Amino acid sequence: MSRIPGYTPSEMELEKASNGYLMSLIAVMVGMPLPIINLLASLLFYFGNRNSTWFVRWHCTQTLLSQLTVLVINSIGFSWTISLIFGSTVLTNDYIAYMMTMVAFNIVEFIATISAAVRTRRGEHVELWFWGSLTNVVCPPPRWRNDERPLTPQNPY
Amino acid sequence: MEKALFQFMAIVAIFLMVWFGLSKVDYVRIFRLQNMSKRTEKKIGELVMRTIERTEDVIKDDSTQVILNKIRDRISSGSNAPTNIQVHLVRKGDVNAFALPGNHLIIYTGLITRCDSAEELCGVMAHEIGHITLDHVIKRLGSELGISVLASMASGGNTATVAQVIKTLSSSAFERGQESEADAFAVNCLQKARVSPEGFAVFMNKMAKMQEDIPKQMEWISSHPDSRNRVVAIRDLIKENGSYTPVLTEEEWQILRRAAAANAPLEEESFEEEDSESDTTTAVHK
Repeated sequence: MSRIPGYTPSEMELEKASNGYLMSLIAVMVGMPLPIINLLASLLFYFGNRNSTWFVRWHCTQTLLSQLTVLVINSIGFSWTISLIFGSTVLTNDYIAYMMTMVAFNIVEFIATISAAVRTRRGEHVELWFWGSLTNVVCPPPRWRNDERPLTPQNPY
Repeated sequence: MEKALFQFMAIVAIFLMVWFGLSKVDYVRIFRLQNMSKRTEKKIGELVMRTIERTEDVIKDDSTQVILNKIRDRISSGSNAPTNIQVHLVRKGDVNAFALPGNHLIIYTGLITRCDSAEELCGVMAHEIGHITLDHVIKRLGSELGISVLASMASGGNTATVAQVIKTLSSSAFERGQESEADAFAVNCLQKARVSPEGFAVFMNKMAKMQEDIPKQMEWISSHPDSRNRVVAIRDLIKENGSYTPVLTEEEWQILRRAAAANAPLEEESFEEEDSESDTTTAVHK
């Protein structure tokens, strides 16, 4: 089980961080045909919690970045489909293969997000593959910024 | 940062590999997707054609049908157009021709009476056959009525939807790009079939001159915007020094003209003006 050394997040932090993941899942269900909805939901949650503790912000950022990646993939598929229906594009094997790959990536991301939501709620610090590394770059823990103060619930920064 | 970059490149590589691998399967052939779409189009075409036969006066005259089929076959000989295009002559004074789903081509008698040569008619027919060959018809219906409506039509369809399809196809324009594509198709296939594309340009020029004062029945022009620009584009596409042969004999053309004129009365003053304009244009480009 992955934990942050010397820091135990409070129940409220765990709940907020976990909700960040759940937020993107609910948005997936609502905005299935419109990829932008998922990103908007994650973005709203991120801005709503940007003044929260580092732990909450870190997980909100990870959710946001994962949604951004999927948004790029889904937007290509969405615009391709639109041009197929309304434009002069024809149905090809490349299109069908792209849609299958897109669905596969969405499923992987969906499962990873559910898993992250559950494990985060249990108190784990879940770093998803690629998105975790990227989040560490965007939202580094205080100690990595040469802050020598110990991480405690009383002094999370 | 290096770790994130490496993982990003890995994720992109995995995505591309999965996509490339899956694209090697021929889904279109396995699931017969092309045939499914053609079958749907054919069903819609039959439904629409039945309605037209019920509501309009479709001329079932063997002598004119043979002549129209001769023009169609000549156009097809210069292109990859479907071989099963059915040409229908409808008794109506409007200057109009339009393609329907399922490879049906409707020509109003009013259009034939406005043409001064078989090559002019052949040009317009080649343009419409271009829309059929390039799948513009079903794409346009899909974009204007929605794929779901078309799917419901294929399994029956109601009168209002069929009427909407006829109205859409007979009285409104294709997208500008599609019109240009159909023009290019027409010029190209006419040249390959050794039919002078000049007739098409002459007819378009004639229509462009009339566009300033469009009567209501001139639907073919009003639905095809920027006729003047199109004339220029058509003339640019025409290659010099082509050797052409007539599409019909003079006798065949007169049979067709008489059959059309007997069924489509026209306003005299605009027709006379038309004749003088087209004569001038033809003389200039001969």
